[in-house]
Amino acid sequence: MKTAPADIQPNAGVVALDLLTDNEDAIISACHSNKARDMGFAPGVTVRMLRRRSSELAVVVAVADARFMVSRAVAQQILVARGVTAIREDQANE
Amino acid sequence: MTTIALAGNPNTGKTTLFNRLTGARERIGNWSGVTVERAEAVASIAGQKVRVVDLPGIYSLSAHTLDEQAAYDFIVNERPDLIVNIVDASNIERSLYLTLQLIDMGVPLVVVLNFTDIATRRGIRINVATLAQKLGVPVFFSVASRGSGMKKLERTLTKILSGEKQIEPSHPGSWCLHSDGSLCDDSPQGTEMRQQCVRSLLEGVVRRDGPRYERFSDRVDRVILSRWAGLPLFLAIMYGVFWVAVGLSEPLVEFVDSTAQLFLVDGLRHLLEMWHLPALLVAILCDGIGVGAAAVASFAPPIFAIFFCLGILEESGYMPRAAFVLDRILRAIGLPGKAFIPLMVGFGCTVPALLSTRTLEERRDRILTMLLSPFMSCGARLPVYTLFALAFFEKRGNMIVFALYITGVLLAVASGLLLKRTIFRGDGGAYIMELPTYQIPPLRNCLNRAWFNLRSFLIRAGQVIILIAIVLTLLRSAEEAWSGASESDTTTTSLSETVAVAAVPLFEPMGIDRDNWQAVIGLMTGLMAKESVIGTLDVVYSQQAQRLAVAEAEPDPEASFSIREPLRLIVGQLAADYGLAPPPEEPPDSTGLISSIRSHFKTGAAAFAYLLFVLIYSPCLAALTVLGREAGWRWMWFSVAYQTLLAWACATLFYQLATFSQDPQRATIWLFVALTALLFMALLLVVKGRRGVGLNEKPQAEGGAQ
Repeated sequence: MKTAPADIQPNAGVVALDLLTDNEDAIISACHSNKARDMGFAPGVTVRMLRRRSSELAVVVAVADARFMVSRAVAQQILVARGVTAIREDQANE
Repeated sequence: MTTIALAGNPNTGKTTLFNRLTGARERIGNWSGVTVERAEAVASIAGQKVRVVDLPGIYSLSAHTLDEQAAYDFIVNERPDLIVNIVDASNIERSLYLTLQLIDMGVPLVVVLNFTDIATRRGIRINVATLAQKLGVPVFFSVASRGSGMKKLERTLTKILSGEKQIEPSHPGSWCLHSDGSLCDDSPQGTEMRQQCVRSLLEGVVRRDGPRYERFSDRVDRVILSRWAGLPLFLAIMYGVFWVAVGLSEPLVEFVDSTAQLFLVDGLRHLLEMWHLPALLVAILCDGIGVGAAAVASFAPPIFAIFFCLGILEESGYMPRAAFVLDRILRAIGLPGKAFIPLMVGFGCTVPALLSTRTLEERRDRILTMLLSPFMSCGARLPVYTLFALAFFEKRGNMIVFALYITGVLLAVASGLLLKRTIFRGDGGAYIMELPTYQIPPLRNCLNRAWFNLRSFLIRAGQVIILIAIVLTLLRSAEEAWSGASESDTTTTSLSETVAVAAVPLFEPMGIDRDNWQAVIGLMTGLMAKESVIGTLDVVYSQQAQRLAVAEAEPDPEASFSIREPLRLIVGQLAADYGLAPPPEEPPDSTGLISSIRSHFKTGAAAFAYLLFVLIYSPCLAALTVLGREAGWRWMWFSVAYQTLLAWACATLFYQLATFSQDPQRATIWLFVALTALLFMALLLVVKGRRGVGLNEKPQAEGGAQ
């Protein structure tokens, strides 16, 4: 299993995407995968973990209106900030 | 000629729109990566001929895979006169990223918001006028699958092409400028900035009333992707597909075979003999073209059924979910879950399956997937299984066919494990794959798709089979004329027979004896097209049967011949098979291919060993050509050698084990030879792997094109 490069190791509030739990929302803070970025995994975008099992080698996430199957290796290159989603959603609704 | 390119994200309905605009019948499906190479057609718009190009889906103007590269090259290097950018209205935020990049390029652009029906259902409301004003390009609503919005689009294209309407994006690049005024590039910062542009662009354009999560697809996914239900459900679905394709179509195969035999062979022969036409012409028309056409017709039901079922699966949106379910298994053999889709496409036809590998990022993954794809039984092999199942395993026919499909999958897994540990060391590349929204498969699309696949199979097989039939008949007649033997002389040996008999010793260990040399000819022509196996068997068996019949009794042209009574029995049997009527008092005479197969193969073990060989041996010529082109000729020859040797070893192992009690000493020798052959092959791969032959590079974290 590949791990995130040293320069993108998550800090306290920021974790790799594959560490979110089921139905947890987060905001993407950095994406080190070009392809994922092109597909909408851009900083500032809300992401929700739909399915994460330790036995499975991919996770299922929702980004905007799309659903993605993301291999763990890619998920570890996407960093997300936990606990800020609600604020962002409120701002969006305003 | 003016060129219009259709560009957009994957699975946004580009090919559906292309088919609508041009009347073409390009393949469509509900997953990303159905179109892997550009398709072109000429459409008549505003009275002028226009070249319309359907491009593979791209998320941005950065290419990560071969299919994306094809789209990128066309847009950037060939510069079409106009781009119709198809945007998924139900996922507009993601789709507009590419739109902004296209506007930045300065190419005239028209935006089509497709899937507006889905967007409406999700409570997404888009102010199209504001969006058009902000972008400075025409924007339309459309539901391409139903054809709505097409007239408006065609009217606009007419105006643009006639010069009546000019497209000038209000401020190309103005959405995506850095603070110093330079255009943002594809660097992480540039991408981030463009994404922010999209979000600000959508302010005041999109209103959402419905929930973003917990949609119907999400709820279904909870079951379909679950650990406990996912795999059993997948197996049940696959069994259902084969039950429909084989179980439901079996009576039809018998019906078509008997009816075609009655009209195209027996009836035609009676008619031609009544007209006292030359014997050679009668032989060519009846034993050649008639028998060949009857064989081709008989495999129409299962081929139509399998493509119809696969069409339903592909249109429903289930395929990428199955990729998720099988991800772990595929990882074990060194492939990413995404490789499941090309493998699944292989159940229809190996050629598109090989082309589908273009969506995989890593070259190693692509080649390994290409080598394993032929193990998935293509539709062309299904008629062979079905007819043999009818001949030998009537009540267990479904299970036998399903067992063959499963055997193919298991051999793919075993081969994957072997190759992963030898010449393809490493793990499958990292990947990211979009899961489409579920939809009720449009019946019309599924029927159209099944029909067009069936037609192409019939044409391809018909050409091969009829050509072979004519050549064999002419050869036979020429040899009879040369040797002075009469038609009733059963002792003469034809050239084809001589060649086949010489090759029979190679196949004897798998149950093909000298009297069944025709089976070897079937395997040889199967290299051209797998569906030819059945047609060839029909032609060569019927020629021999005809000779024997002539030898036994002189034909009497005045003898009574009735179509009505046999036809009544055939139709009665069909109705009885489907439970619509009681069985006829006497079953119809089984004079067609099924009885020939039964009499030549003699035992179920020999028949199943033959089917195993057909399942595993070298891919057909068309598939080999594509394999050589896509992976390299070295891998093509590897595939031919590996699969043919494996086919022989597996068929021999099965037959010798099944008939062990008849001659234990002989069986032991052949079992030893077959196992030694397998061991030798594995050792050769180990040695080659240690020497670094193959593709033993470690995959990067993501696509090499980054």
